[in-house]
Amino acid sequence: MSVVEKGRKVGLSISGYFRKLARSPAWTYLKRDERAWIGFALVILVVGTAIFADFIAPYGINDRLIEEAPFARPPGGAFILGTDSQGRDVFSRVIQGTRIALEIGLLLVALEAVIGVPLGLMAGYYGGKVDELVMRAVDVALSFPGLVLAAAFIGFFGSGLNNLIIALSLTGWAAFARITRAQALTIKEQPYVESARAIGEKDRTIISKYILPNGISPLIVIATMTLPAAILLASALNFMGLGVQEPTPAWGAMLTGARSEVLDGIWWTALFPGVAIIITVLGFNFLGDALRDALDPRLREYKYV
Amino acid sequence: MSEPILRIRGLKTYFFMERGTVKAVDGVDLDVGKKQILGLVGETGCGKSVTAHSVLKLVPYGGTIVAGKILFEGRDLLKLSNEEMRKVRGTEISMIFQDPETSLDPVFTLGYQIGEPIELHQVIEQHLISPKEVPKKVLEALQTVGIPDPKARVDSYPHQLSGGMKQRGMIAMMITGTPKLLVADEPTTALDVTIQAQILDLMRKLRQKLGTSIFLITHDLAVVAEMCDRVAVMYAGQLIEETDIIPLFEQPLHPYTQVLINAIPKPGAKRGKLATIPPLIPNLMRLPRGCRFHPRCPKATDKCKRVKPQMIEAERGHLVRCHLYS
Amino acid sequence: MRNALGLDRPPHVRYFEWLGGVFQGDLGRSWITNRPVSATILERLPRTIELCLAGFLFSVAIGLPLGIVAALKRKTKTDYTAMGIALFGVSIPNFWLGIMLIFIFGVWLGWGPATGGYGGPEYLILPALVLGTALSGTTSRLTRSAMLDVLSQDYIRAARAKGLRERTVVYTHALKNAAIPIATLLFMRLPWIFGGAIVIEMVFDWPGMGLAMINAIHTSDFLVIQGIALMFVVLVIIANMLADISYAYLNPRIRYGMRR
Repeated sequence: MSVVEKGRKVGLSISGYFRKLARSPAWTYLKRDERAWIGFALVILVVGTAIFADFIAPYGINDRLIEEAPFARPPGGAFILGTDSQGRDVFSRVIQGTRIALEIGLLLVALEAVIGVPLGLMAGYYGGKVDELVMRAVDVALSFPGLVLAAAFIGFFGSGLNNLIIALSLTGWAAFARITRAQALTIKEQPYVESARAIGEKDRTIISKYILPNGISPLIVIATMTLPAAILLASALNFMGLGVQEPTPAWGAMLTGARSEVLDGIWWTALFPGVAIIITVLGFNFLGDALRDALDPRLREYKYV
Repeated sequence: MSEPILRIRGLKTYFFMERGTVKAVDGVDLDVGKKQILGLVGETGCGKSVTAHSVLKLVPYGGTIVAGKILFEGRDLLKLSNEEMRKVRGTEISMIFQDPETSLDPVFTLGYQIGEPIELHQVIEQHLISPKEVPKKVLEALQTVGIPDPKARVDSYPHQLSGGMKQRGMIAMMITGTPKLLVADEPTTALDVTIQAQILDLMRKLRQKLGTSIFLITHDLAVVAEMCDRVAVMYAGQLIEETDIIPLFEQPLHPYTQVLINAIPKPGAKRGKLATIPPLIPNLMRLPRGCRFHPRCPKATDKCKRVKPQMIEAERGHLVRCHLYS
Repeated sequence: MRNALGLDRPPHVRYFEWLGGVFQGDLGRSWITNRPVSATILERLPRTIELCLAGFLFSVAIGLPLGIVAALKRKTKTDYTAMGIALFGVSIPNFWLGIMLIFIFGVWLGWGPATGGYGGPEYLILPALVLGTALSGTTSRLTRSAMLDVLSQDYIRAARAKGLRERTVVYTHALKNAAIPIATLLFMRLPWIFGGAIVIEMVFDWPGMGLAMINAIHTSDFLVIQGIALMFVVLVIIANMLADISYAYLNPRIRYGMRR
């Protein structure tokens, strides 16, 4: 009976995980890491901007604010980041673009996790043929450049937000599957899982109650590190006109026209959306790196980008 | 005995970690005599290996020699510049390591790795020989350590050699400069028993042939009994007993040494339980007050808990750090 | 018209017809220009490879020294600075960097061809640099971890105990061992450069396969998309083969096998 109780103790809930984390040495380590603070500050800035975008942006995203040519006015006066070639306020569009970037990033990471985690759990827990099949697919997905596959997918099925996310998840799930599998492999050998099996728990219960919660640290790390990569890839597709379309103020899409505008000396429509991307991506990368070092130094080789 | 070749005085090597300072070597005094084999024994983590690395100033990452003197033929090695110290290594002092599997570089041939120090020290730095003589010297080194078919082994990569051959190869690589002192860090621990005996035999022969003094670090009292002239016992960063080989086994003074000696199974002895000590490996970050051994000591008194014992000469040439003898 | 393009037959039939043609070197024709897809690819593949190789060289030229220095100065200001630069490198969208460089060098300073295009080295240098920057961050990170891994090995300590010079220890022993994982991983990441090349070709108007693919996507020129995607698959396979070959070549265990 005591073995069973011991097993129960280790099987924990997701909220229990965070309570445990707050008391762990990883937390102490994280608090001392400057990267964590920089990253955290940037992420708060970005998320805050996304939430309060409507209050921060002084103008509507599609308001044509300039009556006569030239429509693109340099930063200054009422338009702190200038206006674009259609007379729209760049600052308002960049601010509202935050929401789109995070939306795309989070949806994509969620979809990748939804595909990758169950496959990884199955591969690690059952092993054998399932494992071989999943890992073969992982190898292919990881070796293939996500951008090329995504572009081809969009070429056949059309552009738009949904297809953009599906297209990028075609390769992105593999990182989640690989990490989850590695976790499942180690955790399933733990005594508490064996005792759970000994008292006749179902496979599904064992996976969801013991293996997943105990292997969640690396998943959080991978999710944090995947998010910036996802935002970068999505912005590249948007830039190529393969994702979210004008007049939606996605940062990547805003840069599409900027490419030719810089030739006329209009640099501000190009500079600021890019800076917004960098701030966002850098913030999550800093945080992800710090989390990785604090939670699991062994993860280092799994860098996604 | 004549002037010792190596005198260590008050050596302290600390590791500064995020969670505190590990005093791996905390005030060690030791002498290695000319052509002597001095053993340093102790359990895992007692600081014996760090002591050995300190002599070559090759302390692992994170560690620093914070105090002391290491006098080699009267010269304080700790005062040498990095470049001067580098020239001492591989020529006057050399070291052989525990694990032959990992101590040879896997991407270079054995011959290349043996030739490297010859080329650098004897050709480039000291102009003793011409570059053309290097291959001959490599062969000589391989013959000295008794590798079978040395000509064929020159072009072998480490993975093509057996464990015993690798260890001989590593020794060959380290003795090319005929060092006056050889620091051997657990040279036989990773080897099979039969090969162990061969390597120990080889080291004794090297002392005969080259006149090398050997500073032998081991946890194996059987190796000590077979090899050493004099022995120092280390516990939690400090020496606790130092004496010649015979008194160590016949009349150990420190309770720790006594337990170690009694733990050796003796043939013909009555069957029964082996002697053991309470399994409490000392935490070098938080050492106990008083005598460092007192929490595990069967003879501990109140005084041991409060007062740090000093190293005293209990008998002629027999030093011990224990209140029982003061 | 529909008949000539074969649009009257079901998609899977057309796919297998196309696949049958692929094995005979026939990738079909563009329905816009009526030009054979294989001709387009043959014309554009060398340009894409040229760009990718130049970008790869830049990434190694920037990333390798950065990673080595960071590893040697582990946990010092130099290390943190180098790794900060690397992190910055992977956080910059490369197409944006391209646009900014076009503005700075082409428009503002007037040093080079601002409109991009294909031609001499002055057309190659900026796109290759931009392509290399993104990967150099990754390169320096994996160089650093490979070097740290090797520097903590026993044979490095042994090399120092022999009295070798520090530069011999680092650049002969450590680097030659670290080269095995570094080369393998770099070649395995080579496909990422192909992905980056698509975007960079668009920014710099570099008439390679990527630009052709984007144009084909915008005009729904499916056979061109299909053909170029297939070509990228071939490139990925070649990159993976290069990774395997470099591993076998650099590692004596594989090169000479076990003799025992």
